Amino acid sequence: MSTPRPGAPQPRWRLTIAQTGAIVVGFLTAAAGIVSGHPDVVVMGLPLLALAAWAWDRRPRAMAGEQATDAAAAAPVHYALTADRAAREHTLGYRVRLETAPGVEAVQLRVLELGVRPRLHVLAASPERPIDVRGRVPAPHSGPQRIVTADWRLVAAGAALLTDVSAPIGVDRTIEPAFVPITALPLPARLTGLTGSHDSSRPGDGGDFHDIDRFRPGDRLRRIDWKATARLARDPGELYVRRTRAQADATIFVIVDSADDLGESVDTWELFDPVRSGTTSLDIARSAASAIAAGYLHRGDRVALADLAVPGRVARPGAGTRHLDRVLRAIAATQPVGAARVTRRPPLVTPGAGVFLLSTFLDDHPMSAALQFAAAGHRVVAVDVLPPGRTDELTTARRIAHRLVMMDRENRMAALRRGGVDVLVWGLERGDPERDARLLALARPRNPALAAAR
Amino acid sequence: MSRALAGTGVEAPAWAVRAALGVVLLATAALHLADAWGWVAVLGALAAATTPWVQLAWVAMLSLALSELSQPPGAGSWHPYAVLAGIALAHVLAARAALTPLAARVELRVFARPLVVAGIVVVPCEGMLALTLWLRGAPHPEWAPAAVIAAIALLALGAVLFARLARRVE
Repeated sequence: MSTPRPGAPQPRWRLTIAQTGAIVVGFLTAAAGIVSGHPDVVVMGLPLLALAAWAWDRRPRAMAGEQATDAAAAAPVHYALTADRAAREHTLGYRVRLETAPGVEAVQLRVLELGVRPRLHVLAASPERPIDVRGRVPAPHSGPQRIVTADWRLVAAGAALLTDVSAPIGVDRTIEPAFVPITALPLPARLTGLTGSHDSSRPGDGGDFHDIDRFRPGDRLRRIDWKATARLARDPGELYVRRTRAQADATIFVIVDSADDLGESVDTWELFDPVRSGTTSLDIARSAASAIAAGYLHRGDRVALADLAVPGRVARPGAGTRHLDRVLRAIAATQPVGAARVTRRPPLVTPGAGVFLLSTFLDDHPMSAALQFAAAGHRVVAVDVLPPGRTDELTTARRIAHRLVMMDRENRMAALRRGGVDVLVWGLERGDPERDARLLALARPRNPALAAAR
Repeated sequence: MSRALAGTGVEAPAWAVRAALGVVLLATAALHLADAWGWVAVLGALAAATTPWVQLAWVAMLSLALSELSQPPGAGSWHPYAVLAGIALAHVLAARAALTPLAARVELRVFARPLVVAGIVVVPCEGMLALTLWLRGAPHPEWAPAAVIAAIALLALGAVLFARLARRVE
């Protein structure tokens, strides 16, 4: 149970029109009866005056302990608003509990689910029986969000007294994105490190066959290939060894563009509605970023997370289970920041690292960032996270505007392809054979020269 | 329209409260359609049910009470008693309807206490009404001023006593 913060404005009691109406009508009726000499008409006004007197006598206590009058601060309400920690069947349960002061008859409770679905209830209240209501709210989106907001007004003395609306209270939750396991992942142009799970271009221990070369100081004796020596040696004492590739790991930068969050329903692009919007671009981006990061980290590679719209790196390159938890938490906490906070400077990327840039590509900034990364020698995969738009609710003018925006976007995607950026469309479906096939194609070495360069 | 929350009692939509207010006022006004006060009450009832925030419910109550001015004296008719009860009931409903948005749901238990209080108020008032109607219809017209004075005294005494006694009961 909580009480209002000391600095929070305390709701004040107000006399309602019911009290004024009862007194005015009661006295007017009585006066008319007296003037006209009709005692029965005088009695007609008696119930309203008696009800007004009862209401005045039964005023609740104010904060200072005295009976409430007009503009007196209401006694504090002890409240609790709780919600489930994790979604169950795409819904979260919540509970609102209010303990009111003596004299309060009813509470007008307003519960706002996901910021858009209001529930208005007038509930009977008493100190012996606190208000305790529960509900379930759908959780259609991942990421941080305000699940429930609640505020209330107190009603007392037969609705003769009413408080102002209380300060709203809310509960926030971060919904984890849907996880899609992926196995085929492309490698960057250059591998780094002295250990790892990938074969590098350098000769060393642990990898596949590299070549056969003359024995040099430092080579291990067990690497001498006697058959090759017998075949190739020209001089006495000349020895040949089998060399294998050294192993290395890849460094991957997952860069999420959180400048906008656009749903399937194009009608909600201007004014976001979490219920009508359908799956949004950031839902897809969180899911894709989680899958990519987890896929690489499970293979032992190093993964960093950055946000194109927020300055500074979210998570430095790292590996291991704890780093995976850190990255997944950071991805789940990604939220739209709006175009105003978009930084014009792409994040710094480790030389040779692979870059996954997840964006809707509805403006030039992610495109130019991707092209810059590609020009700097990084292997860049542009992950298109814009969900297929539903335009059936749009007016003709807005539909035409949407088409123009989409044509502009197509031009950007074409420019990305021309600039050597691989484009991967991340669909809505959890199991998407087209996406898997594309990932498999990207995971193959693009050309033998590139494979040799590794 | 707001959906039900778990943990609440029996609820009704707010429009049902407005409809009940309109029905009570219209049914009471229907007893006096013969004079202008009745028609004013009908208009007030319709406005109160559709747009409660304009507070015309109390105008309807006033016109219903004043419509008794044109009624012939006599304790035999049930109309004045129905009007008195209707005014009290309409006040209880109008007080809630004026505060409740149309999309809300109202727990019916909210009305329990105000209705009990209204009942406690109305029952003695009905007795007083019967007395004053009998006095007004009596063969001695000089009693009428005495009845008015008695009604005023009862009015004041009733209000004060009710407030004091009701507090003791609680």
